Amino acid sequence: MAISSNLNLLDRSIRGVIGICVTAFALFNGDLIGDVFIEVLLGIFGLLNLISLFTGWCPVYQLAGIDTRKH
Amino acid sequence: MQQIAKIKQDKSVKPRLIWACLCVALLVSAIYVTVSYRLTADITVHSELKAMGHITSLVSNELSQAEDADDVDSILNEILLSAVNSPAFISVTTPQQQWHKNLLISATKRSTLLQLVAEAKDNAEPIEVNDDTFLWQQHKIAQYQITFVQQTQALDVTLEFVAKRLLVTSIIVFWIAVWLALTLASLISRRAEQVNESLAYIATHDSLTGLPNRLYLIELLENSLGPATDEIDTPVDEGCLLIIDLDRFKEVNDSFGYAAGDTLLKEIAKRVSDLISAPAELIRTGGDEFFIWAPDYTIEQAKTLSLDIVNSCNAPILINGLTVNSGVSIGISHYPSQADDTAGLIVCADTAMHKAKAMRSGWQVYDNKKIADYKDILQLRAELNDALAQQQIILYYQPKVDLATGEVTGAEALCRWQHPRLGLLGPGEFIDLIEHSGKVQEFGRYIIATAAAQAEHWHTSGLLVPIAINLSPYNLLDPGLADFISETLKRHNIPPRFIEIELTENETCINIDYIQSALAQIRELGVSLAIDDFGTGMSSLAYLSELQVNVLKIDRAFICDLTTNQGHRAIIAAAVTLSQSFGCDMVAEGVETQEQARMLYEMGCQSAQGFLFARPMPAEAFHTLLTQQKPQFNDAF
Repeated sequence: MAISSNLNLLDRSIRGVIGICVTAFALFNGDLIGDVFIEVLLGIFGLLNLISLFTGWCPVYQLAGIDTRKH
Repeated sequence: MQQIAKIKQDKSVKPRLIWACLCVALLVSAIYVTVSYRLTADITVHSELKAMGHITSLVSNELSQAEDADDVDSILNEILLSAVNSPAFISVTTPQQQWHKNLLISATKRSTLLQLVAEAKDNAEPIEVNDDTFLWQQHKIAQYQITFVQQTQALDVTLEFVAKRLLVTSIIVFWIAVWLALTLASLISRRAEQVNESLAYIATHDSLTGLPNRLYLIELLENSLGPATDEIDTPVDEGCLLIIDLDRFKEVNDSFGYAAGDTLLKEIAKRVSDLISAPAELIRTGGDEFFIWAPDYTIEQAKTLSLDIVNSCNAPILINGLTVNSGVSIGISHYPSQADDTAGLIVCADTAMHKAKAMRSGWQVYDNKKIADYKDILQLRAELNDALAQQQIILYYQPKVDLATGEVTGAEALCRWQHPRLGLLGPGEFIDLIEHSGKVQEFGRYIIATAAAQAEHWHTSGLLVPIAINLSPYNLLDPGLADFISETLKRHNIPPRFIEIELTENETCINIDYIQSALAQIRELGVSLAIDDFGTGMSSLAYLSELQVNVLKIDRAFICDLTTNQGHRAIIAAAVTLSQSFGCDMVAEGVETQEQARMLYEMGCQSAQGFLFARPMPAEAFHTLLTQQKPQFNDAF
């Protein structure tokens, strides 16, 4: 499965914002949650969004055959 | 006509699946949150109750060592203050006395709670009073009944501990569920699309050869011809449609079986496929008929392709160890010069193919002029009904002349179609249509009735001329023909000898036994019989001896070159001898020159007809010819 961009700008930006917020929250405000497991989950979730932000590529979109980019 | 597109365009599965998965994900998240919350709350309540149970045990232990009422009071006070930090009270009752100790709780509330505790069945369910939740424990030891009631913080604590984690995890779970929904939906819808595609393939392809079928062809042509009307249209500027039909497919099927026929079809399909290249497509519409739609082909290119196909298909094919050679006939039509719609293009190619088959020429390009003829024929066929009903078919009469005396001895009735649009049509233009129309017997009776009426007319006006009627063997298959002739003769009151039946012999495959018996019946009526066009067709000598005819009419083919063709002269001489041996008269047809007439006379032929004497003419003209001029044709030679 070749990695090629499948997100449009809006999709990518929203994911970027969510990714940054969630990762930052998990890293710096983890005490609020009070559970390491959930912190790790949040971290992964944020990280995946950050990957989408940098590559413009969503693995689930790829699997599902969705492409929000305008050709 | 967009059936295939309909199958392919059904995209409704995917969004539905996504929505269904999302709803399930929401539902699962909600259940999960509720159950987790209730579970945690129950565990907290359970542990609080346990702690309260310990306090109650402590109280009862202390009370068992108490000596008087003051002791009890101080014990309760001490325990309540040290071990409890939320609103609570402890009541201890004996049959004689009661002690109550409150912490942050009013006396009225206490008595309400005590009453509720007395009514409650067990202490697992919290008691609600004014939005506050209370848990209770009761213990009985010796004469003391101890009741400990405490306001619980369990649910608040649970919320505080669990809410944040539940919220975060349920968001993540929901997110995962969305991913799952998308993936599942896409996998399932992709599978559905594959199924749709294979359905569309099955619907549009032939199972034997794997080639596209008729449905596909129509769809393809609809999309290719004319201006684009929707997005799937791919209009072309020009193109050729070829129809390929196997010449001897039926023979192969009949002689070697269907399996051999299938092998043949597959081999032909393979050979033709090898000769064409995209975007031209080979399509099998059924039976032994193939189509090629070749976009952007000129007629010249199509001709070249046809030649290649004919050559390729003429090469023998090995079936069951035997070489079979099934030639093909190809019809070509061109878009847009010959037809600009699907139906027209197919009809043109089909017509050209049939022409190629008839001419055994391998391939034919559709010819506008020929198609006009073809359409005329179709129209004539449709007009036949009216022709009979409105008596548009009329009879012309051609005199038969006695070569010895020059007198008119009879007339041959020849049919003409007085067509309202096309004028007078000769028999060559419509007899074939009649013979293949199912009206041949009706037509035969019509001719007999018309001729009989004419014979009666002449009879009453003194013209004693027998009329010869041409009937084809098809007419003789009419089971009531002899009865009909008999009735007609009676109705018109004419002697049977004034009617003569001339049997044309253009068909060889008709039941000779049946014809023989039909002719015997007619002969018994006294009607004389003649064999028309003798010497050609099926006039075998055996046939001649079986049918016992009265007259032999020798075919015009032998007469026209009588003076120059030694062979034909010999045949005529033999026919004359033959007729004399059988005791029947002989008439020569198609006599055009005096020399021919003279030679025929010298050879022993008694009668003749032809342009030398007279052309076929309407009944009135014939009447005039016989009554006014009294022709004596013997002056001719």
